[in-house]
Amino acid sequence: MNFWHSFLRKLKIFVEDHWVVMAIIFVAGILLMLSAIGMSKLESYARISALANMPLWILVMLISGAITAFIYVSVMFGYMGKMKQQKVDPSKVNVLFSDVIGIDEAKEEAREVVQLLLDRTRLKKIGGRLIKGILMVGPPGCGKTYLAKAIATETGVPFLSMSGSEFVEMFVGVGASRIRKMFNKARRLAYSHNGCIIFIDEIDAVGRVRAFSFGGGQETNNTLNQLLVELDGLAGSANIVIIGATNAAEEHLDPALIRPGRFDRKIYFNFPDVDGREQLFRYYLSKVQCDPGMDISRLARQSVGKTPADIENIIKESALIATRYKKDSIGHKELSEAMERIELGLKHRMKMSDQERTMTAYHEAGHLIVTYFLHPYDDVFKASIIPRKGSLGVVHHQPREEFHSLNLNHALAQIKVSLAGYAAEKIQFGITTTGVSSDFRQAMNWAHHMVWKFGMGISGHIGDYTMIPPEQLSETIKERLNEETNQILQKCVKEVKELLVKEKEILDRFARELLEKEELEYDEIEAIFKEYGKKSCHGAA
Amino acid sequence: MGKRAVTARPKLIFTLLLTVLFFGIGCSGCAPTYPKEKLEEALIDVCRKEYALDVQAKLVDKTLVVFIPLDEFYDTKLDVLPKAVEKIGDVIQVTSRVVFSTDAEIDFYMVIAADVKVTAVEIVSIQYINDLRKLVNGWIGRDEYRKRVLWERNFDPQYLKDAEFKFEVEPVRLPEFLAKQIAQRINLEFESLLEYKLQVKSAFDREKFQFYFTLLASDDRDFREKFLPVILREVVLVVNAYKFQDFKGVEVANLFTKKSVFIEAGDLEEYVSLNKK
Repeated sequence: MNFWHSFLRKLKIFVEDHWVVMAIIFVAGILLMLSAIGMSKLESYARISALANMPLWILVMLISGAITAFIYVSVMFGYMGKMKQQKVDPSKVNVLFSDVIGIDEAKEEAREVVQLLLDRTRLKKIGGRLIKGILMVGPPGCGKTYLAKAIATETGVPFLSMSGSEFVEMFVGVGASRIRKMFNKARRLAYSHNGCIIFIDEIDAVGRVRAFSFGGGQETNNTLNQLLVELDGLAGSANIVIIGATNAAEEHLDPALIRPGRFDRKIYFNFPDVDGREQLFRYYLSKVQCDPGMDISRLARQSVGKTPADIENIIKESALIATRYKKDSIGHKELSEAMERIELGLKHRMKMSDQERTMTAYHEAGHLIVTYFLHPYDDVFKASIIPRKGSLGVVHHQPREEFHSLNLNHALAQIKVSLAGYAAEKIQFGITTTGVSSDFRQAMNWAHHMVWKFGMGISGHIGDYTMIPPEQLSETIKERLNEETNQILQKCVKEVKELLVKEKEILDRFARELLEKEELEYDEIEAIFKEYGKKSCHGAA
Repeated sequence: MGKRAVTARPKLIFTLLLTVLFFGIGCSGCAPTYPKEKLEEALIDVCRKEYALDVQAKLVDKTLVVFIPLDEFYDTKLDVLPKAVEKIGDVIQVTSRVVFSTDAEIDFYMVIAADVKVTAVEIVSIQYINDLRKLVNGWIGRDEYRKRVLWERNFDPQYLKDAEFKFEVEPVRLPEFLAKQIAQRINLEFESLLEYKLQVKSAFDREKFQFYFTLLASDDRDFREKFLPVILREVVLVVNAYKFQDFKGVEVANLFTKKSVFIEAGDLEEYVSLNKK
């Protein structure tokens, strides 16, 4: 009984969806029957002649029909009403929850939604309210689309995937019409398959805060209005869940869109933590040949702030590097190089004078030593005097773990590390280069924010002075705050200079090593410090 | 919830239905309308039903012979009556249809129309099925086809005694057909070239495996310089058109001077090209 009921529903939807095709096939069938009857009355020679010519007639008719249809559609509709609606077959997506790694909280939320979608009847019995929409918010590459694919696979219901930009057209009404079409299709699929998921990637393209003014925003407003209407219309019996994904912060989306009753559930994506990254490295490394005994926890520590997509990319890149080195498996060296290539950019082999190289070596050695001795949270993973991305050298340091708020020590350490290049050049050569400009920008930015925004100044001023328009601030306040900013910078540079003078031997050594090897890896750096019996300020050595 | 393919099955059913329909039509086109067992019967039947003509027909080896007894054939000026021409045309058309839609092995058909009342004159039309096919498919033109159809006029007083046709005819074979066709073409050519009528007769000598042409030319020089090149040119034209290579040569005899010329098959082309220059 249930089977017949379901079958009849599907048949009804099929007939509604394909009645044009069916009518054409029916008419074609009748014509073919008539032709068959007529042919049977012909003499065999005439019949064979007609049959011999038939493929050619059909071909000619098809070609002329296709050309006519193409011209008609192009001229009359200009493809405006057409929408590339991608119905994804869940069985072909084949991404399971077990494949989603490093975003456990988001995964759990999604799992719950899947369960609710499947246990709809039970939920209705209890009297619970159905979830209409899920909004996935988070930085790019954190697995929003991947999780949506997993939802599609796990629920097994039809999955309509669209990009928000597909609703944005220059013609008024087209976007709204596409929304209507998509929801109509979803309703039909939900009717015949007991459920349907609509996934709109980059929903901010259509769901950003409406601008109530004349001009170009009109079409976006219409599209969003239609989306809101359709979301309200889901209150009926249709088992449709709409999933929106966006990289934009929530405040950039229209409040009407994200209020409860529309996107009821919000899933927040963050960068994976150290455990998540370790799992991700383990997962992606399991898919490639890698050296046994690789220190995956070190890789996880080294990749703070990396998204799952970044980690996947690192593995892919390291596989390419290993292939280039004609190796059979990926080692730590390849991974490190891949990470560096993604993080720091490609190396540029530029011709530099000896003096330039020496100054760069001292500059980078200064950064390295100050980071090692004065930065309480960062580890130095690499120092290099090979030019990259417009800089002549680099010291790659990473926090050992992600921090969601930074304290005074952190801020001061950042300033000291930034000023270390300048201090090293000054100590060694008495003069400095223009290479300090970006360091100064960073140091100044930190110091300025410490005083103006975070209440971390020496005089005890508190409050966010950047909130007040500059013309409303008194000159005295401005002078005082700027003076404090300068004091922080001076104090930091003094401390850095003292340290570098004190550790001049190590500074010279690192500069020499850099001039000789051009690049120093984590292990080499640690070994040199160990040679001098030094430990980093957080005791990592 | 299971995973489903929503529309795949109905589409498959429609595709299968269409395929079956196409194959049905295709297979129904294979059966011959006039099977060889009932060929003559069917031809007679069609002539009677469609044109109210009483004909007789018989397959002699690979030649289908159709006889049309006519009561009114010639007018007082001994011109063929239009009504008779029309009847012969109708029978030729029916015969063409039948030979195309049968599984019987037929190479030629011969339509004989005879005046069984007054003159006992018969008109015989012989057509080669392959030529007819070429005409239908547009590989040869109508004018060329007309040249390939043999027309003969004979007198046989037997018709006046017995209207029943005995079908005591020799089946047509390709070498003889070609010999006659060449002679017909040559006579036509001579009609346009010469002021007088010069009758060339032909045969295919099965003992010597050669074409044999005879004519009466009082002047031997004319025979060699005027007539022989035309005859041989037509021979080359026809044997090439039919890709006929099963002969040793061509003998042309002048019955007036009792002299004859023999050209080997391999030398024909060269002879013709030399004479062209």
